[in-house]
Amino acid sequence: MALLTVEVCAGTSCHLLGNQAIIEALESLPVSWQKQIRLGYRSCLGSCGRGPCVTIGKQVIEQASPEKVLTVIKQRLTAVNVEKEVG
Amino acid sequence: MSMTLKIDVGVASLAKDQEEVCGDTVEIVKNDRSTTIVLSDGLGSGIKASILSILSTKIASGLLRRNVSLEQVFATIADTLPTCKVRNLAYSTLSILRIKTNGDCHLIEYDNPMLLRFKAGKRAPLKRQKREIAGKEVLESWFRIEPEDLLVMVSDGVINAGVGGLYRLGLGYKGLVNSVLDWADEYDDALPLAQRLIEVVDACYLGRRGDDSTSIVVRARIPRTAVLLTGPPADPKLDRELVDNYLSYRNVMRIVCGGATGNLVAREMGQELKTSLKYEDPSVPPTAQIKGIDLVTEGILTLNKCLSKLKSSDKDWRSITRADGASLLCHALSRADRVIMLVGTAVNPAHEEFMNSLQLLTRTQVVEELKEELTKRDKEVIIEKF
Repeated sequence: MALLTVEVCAGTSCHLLGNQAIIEALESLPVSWQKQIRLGYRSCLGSCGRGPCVTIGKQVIEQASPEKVLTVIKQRLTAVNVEKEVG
Repeated sequence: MSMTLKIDVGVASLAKDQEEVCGDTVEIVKNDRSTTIVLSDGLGSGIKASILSILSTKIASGLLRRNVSLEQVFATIADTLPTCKVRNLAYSTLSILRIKTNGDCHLIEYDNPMLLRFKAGKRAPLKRQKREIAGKEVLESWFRIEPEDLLVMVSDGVINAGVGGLYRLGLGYKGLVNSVLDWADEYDDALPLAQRLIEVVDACYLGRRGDDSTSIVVRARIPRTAVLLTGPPADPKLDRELVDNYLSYRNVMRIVCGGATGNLVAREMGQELKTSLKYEDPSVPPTAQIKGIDLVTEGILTLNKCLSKLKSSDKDWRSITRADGASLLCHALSRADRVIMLVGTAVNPAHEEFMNSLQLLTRTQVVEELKEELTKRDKEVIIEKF
């Protein structure tokens, strides 16, 4: 199964706007979720005014919060799992 | 071809047991044309010796700043210094070495141990001539220092280290030469080698230092250059030109500071930018990698942090082992003899809000302050703005 790529922007603005809270939330995800995710950083996504930014797959989430990010990840992982069951 | 050499000078000293001050004094006088090193060992030890040697080196450095010739400097000191009535000895010894930027050296030695020269891991003795200046018999030498040559000047406390203790006759020239050869490859820079030699001396004295000891290490090299690119240019049409300019420097350490700048460089080079997977220090954003670039960091925060690290401590950042972007940047800048900063002046509107509230310096301010800090550390810094 392809892993879901989650990348947190670690540029100046996103760092100052609180990307650490998001990183901490991602690092403390249940192991079963972590196994399905490839976590990384980005140097700058160019949306400095609307940070912190996180990409999940191809989707860019601006003004991200841990809750917002976890909700999207959950949706994506559930969708993948449902597809698997149906398939 | 005339080439400007970097003359790296490191000095380390040790005071005689029970003494608060070292009776050896070293002065280094630098200007655009030359570096001059003056070593004086005051007779005896303690405050009296210290004052005498300071007297000699201060007279010398004062005159050298006025571009007076070495022999005139020596003559003035020889005429000024009193002679010990009891021992009929001059109150202090003196060695003066002037190294021009092209490598031409002029050395005058009076009563100090001989300067040692090393080339390609071997001792390369100098030709010296006896000469009388102001009634004193001195040794004089003219030679040329080449890249990677190593010169070692010491006071007699080094040569005599361990007399009657570890060695019957002391460390001697032979012991000193062997120590230099043992350690020279271990350190690229002059200071750690000078320090190491003094540690050897301390060890020879078995903790009972019989005399003031000073070692001066001089290394000549082709200047190490770092080129730091930070900030996109004010006009995006200049991206290409800026990156071309940046990459046109050869045999340099290439540094990029800034997320947007990193993306710009990677794009123009047709390379991928990979951001590290680790926050080494929670207050410094992670570094990144671009093939062909030696160090890629975030911009404003890393530059500010690097500046405050450099300001907060005189410690030698070349020996740090921390891996966050600011420490790595300190390390890279400390290793360089010349730093060329290519500074893009585009303003990121999203940053402006933070700058004031967090008391961060803007890119233009921080590079100016870095220049000041690095210049204090004897580095040549050039800033070009785009």
